[in-house]
Amino acid sequence: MKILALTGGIGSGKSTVAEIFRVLGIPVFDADSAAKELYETSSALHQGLVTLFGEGIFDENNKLNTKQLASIVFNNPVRLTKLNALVHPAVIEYFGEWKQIHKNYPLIVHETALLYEAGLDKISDYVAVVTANDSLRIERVCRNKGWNPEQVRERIRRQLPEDILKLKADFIINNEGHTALLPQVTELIKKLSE
Amino acid sequence: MDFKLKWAKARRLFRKTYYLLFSNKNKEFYVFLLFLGLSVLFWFLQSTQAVSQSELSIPLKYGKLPEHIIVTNELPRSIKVTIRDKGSHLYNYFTRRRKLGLELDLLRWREEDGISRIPLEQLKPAIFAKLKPSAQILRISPDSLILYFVEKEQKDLPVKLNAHIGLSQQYMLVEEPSVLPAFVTAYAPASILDTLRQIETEALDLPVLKDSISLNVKLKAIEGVHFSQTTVKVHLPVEEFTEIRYEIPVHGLDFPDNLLLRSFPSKVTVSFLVSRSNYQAVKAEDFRLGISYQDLIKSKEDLQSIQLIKIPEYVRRLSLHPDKVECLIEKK
Repeated sequence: MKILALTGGIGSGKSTVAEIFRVLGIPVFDADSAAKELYETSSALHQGLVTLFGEGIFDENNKLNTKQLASIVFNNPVRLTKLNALVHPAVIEYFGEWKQIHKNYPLIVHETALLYEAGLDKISDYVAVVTANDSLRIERVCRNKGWNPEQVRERIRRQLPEDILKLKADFIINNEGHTALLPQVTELIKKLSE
Repeated sequence: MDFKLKWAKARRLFRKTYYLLFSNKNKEFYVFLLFLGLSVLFWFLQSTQAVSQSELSIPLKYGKLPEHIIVTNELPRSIKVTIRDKGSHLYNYFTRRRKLGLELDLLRWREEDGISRIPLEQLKPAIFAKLKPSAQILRISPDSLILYFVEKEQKDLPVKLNAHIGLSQQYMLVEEPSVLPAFVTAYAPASILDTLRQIETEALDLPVLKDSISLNVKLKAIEGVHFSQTTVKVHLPVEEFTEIRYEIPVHGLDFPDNLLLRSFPSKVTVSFLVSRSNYQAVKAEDFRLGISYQDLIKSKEDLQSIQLIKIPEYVRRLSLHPDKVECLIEKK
């Protein structure tokens, strides 16, 4: 089994590329969705979050208050590091379980924005990065999430620069809008199947 | 006490007035005024006997035309006649100038081609008949009348609103400006009617509209053409607009039962402007986007344009992001 890590900055179009993999029959692990699921289901993660940020981080229905969590860690690198140290190992462990379920597939993909930050690169055989220029990424995020351009720029500044992601990656998927994604993804799958 | 004060004031005022009128010093002034008045009177009497000239506005009336004939151009309601005569006569003409009015029988001047030019010199005998024998007519203005006779040639023409409409930020026209009536009947010689395709309104400049507005707008006059009405009612429905965005799935259109469309992305952002009155009514379900199977199998492009299958008619400035998607056809 080959493990392909799919990464890219905010607004690069990772999710669209991941959707193509899914449609083409390749299982995709979504690290963001997995983390959200673990917040609700993992008692260890729940306890760790309460210890770090207090009982108020969960609402009366025991649901994580993501807005409050974001406001706590935003612009506070120490708190963010503590949160990541709690969440990333839990996600990696969850990915291990998920991988076991899909062990009969020749290729699996895990999609994450924080590949290197979460250490998921160490458990991947290949890395593919989805790229798009900054102005296009800003436009996409503003449109889809209703953020303002400065918020998106701030998020881009906090992520690894695209040039570094490209240098580290084995495959580059261009999602600038003028190059079709499907041929790029099918070509990538073909190469990994050889 | 109060009455005594008032009485004293009245007596003082009376004494002052008496002094002003009958003191020796002021008597000379009033004598001067009397003689000045007399001299003005003599001057006036003399000037009424002197010969002078003056311009009079003489009203015109037009006799009825037979029902099948109309004059399509605007005719003057009066003419200006410069008359030379004794001052007293000129004064007399001026005071009873309405009685000098003329009634013209237009049919008298009708030419075969429908266009007649009447030199107003021809009206001199009729004007003289109403003046004293001593009068001279020096000038008549305008010097001629032009008449466009039409034998009930008519054409219904669309009215084109000639307007520059500016809207305040966030404000838009809810629908196209309405013009009532949308068609106006034009009467003119066939040669002119044949050249007309529409009737324009006079220019209307509305730089910063923030509210709906209704107003009467004049039609632009065309030489020789008579319209069934000279104004139209224009209504501009203006409302504040706000932007809405929805994520709408892309559907396969007319796909065979055993095939399925997979588009990437599977949903696109539809952004549009909607008026306040429709803000609550609009729903994501009101929009339907799709890719036609026939278009897809014929296409040689990697990216397919998305078709708008259903959109509410009241939305404005609709855009899709992205407006093209990649597609796969999947067997069920």
